[in-house]
Amino acid sequence: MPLRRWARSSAAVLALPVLMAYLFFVMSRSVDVLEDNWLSATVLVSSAAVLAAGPVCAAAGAWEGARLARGGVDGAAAARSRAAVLAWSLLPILGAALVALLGGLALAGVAMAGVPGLPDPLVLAVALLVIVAWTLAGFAAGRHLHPLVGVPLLLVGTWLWLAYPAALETFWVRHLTGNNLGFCCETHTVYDQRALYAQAVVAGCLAGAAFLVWSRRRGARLAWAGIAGLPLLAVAVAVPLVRDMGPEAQVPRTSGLACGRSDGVEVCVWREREKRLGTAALIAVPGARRLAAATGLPAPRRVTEGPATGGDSWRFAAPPGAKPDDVLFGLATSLLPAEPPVCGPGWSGADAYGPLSAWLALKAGAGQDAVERRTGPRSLGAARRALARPEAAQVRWFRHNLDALRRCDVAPSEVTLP
Amino acid sequence: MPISFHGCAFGHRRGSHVFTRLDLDVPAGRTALIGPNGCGKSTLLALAASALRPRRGRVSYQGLDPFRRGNLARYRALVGWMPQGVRPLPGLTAREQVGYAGWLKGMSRGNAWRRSLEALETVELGALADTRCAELSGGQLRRVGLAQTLVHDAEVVLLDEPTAGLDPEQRERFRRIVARIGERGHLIVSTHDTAELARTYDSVVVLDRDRVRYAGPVAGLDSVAGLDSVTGLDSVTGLGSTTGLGAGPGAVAWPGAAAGIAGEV
Repeated sequence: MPLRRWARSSAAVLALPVLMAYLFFVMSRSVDVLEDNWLSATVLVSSAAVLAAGPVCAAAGAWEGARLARGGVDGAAAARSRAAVLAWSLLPILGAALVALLGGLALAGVAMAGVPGLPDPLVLAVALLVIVAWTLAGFAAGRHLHPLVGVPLLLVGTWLWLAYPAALETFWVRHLTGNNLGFCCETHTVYDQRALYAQAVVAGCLAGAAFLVWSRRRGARLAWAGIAGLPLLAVAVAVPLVRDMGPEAQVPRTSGLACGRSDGVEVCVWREREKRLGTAALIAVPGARRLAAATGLPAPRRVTEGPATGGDSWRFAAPPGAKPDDVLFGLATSLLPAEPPVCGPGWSGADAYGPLSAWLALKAGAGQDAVERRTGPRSLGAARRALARPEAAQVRWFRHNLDALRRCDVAPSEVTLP
Repeated sequence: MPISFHGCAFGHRRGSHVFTRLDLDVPAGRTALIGPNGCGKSTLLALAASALRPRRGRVSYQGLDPFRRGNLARYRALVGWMPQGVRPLPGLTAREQVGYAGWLKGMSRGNAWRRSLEALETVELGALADTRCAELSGGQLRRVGLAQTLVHDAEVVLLDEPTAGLDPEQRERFRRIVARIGERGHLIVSTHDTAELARTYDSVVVLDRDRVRYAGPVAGLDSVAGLDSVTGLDSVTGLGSTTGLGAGPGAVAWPGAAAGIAGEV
């Protein structure tokens, strides 16, 4: 029978408009905050597609499973294997899931116009696997449950599993669902692949167990062993992969830089921002030279958006829409520690962060208004007081307060206004 | 022999049994399977269709055992089976249902789709090919079921009480169709409709509880004593009365049939 004839009677085709409406609703809330990288767009699309298509396809699977059961296909002495029967019934649902993914990609593509790169196929493949797994779970439930029970159960149950773990304080659970919460990654980070592998394992085991439930014959002990064993396998393999992960599945990005040289300094930006390499170099290289002179640090040989490996390599950021002051501010604050030291209560070193940021930014050449917007008037005031001193005293002030940011036994000095 | 049962035991639940040891070679041609309710006619057909698997013994078609590794798909492609209740997939038209059944039986999608219309025309339902099954009458639905068994050109067609509950006109139509099908291959029909057995079928198998009471030509049925209590009819063949005719149990010999039957009769 032609596929279009088969698809005509499929629940997935009837549910497709609802699915697409929900997908666009989910995406429209997030598409404006996309970072300028395709990984961010891919994760948003996969999250929206999984959240929208997962429950709908699971419910459609429950309907189709019940339809096959009511049609007596299970006992019809078919020459086709059960896997083939299932695959044929799965096709329209899979088609709907693909339409959802492509629709999401089209929306994201509009928002990402001009950004070089492509969607991450691994993220999309895992999203599709998650949707297929829940669809198979629907088939398995549909074989045994009346559609009035199975369809709403799968619709709501799947949605809850995908959406609710984000509200739990136990972070690792959210990394197993495949929803990905709609965000990842800033351009200087990449998706933590362990979460993807964990999702693939969970989805694969769910799909396997669901297929066994759907296709098992009475008394098939091997099938029962699989049904019981696959969820255990999923827990045993997937949970250790994500147990120590924080709320977000991101790790620093280490590759994908586009580099050039400017005035003897290598300047690198993320390849998505390659068009802005020249402009960034014109801002960052002189700024770095000014900072080196002001702080007494050796001038960097490299300024980069990627990892800065040592004293001669400084970081900066030139995201889309960034003004020169923003670039200089990022370059200046990269000289400060990214994380505070682990000190007991009473540590006051954090008070130095704002004044030092303001002082460094002003030294790098940023405008006072921009600095005030970012650090506040009190920090700017402290920085201006420091600037009124002789250069050598300024350097001593900077180094002392830098120590205060790094150590627990050094108190900041003259970082508050009288 | 189209279908053979050798030492078959079967029960639907543990501890229960429908057959404890069934030995039967169903003859070629058109065969009626008759017997009282609950005697195992439907189970026998389901075993023949390989929809059920015997606990012991084996079923085979021309030596092909469906439950030997790698045989199942080939066996099922050769055998068409219409169970008592025809259960179409919700949402499908008659033609889609028949095409889907053909695909299930191993045909390519294109071939099944092409053949589905021919099968519906064979059962005189071509005009309703694009009607949803849910809108068909019970008799029409049976014919859709029949078309499903025909679409893949099965060598053996198994029909489980195809005329039960049909009005006389529908029964007559069914008989006509069955007669046509019997010309193309082997046909085994379980039925309570024993009128005009001789006109419709070449041979008959009589089941009583889990035993084969008779397996032979329709014409020989009247010569077997005591079958009227099993069939519930004075004359199952339409040729004469069974009363007072023939030899006792064990006297039936099916020309050319396996000796296995004799022990059961």
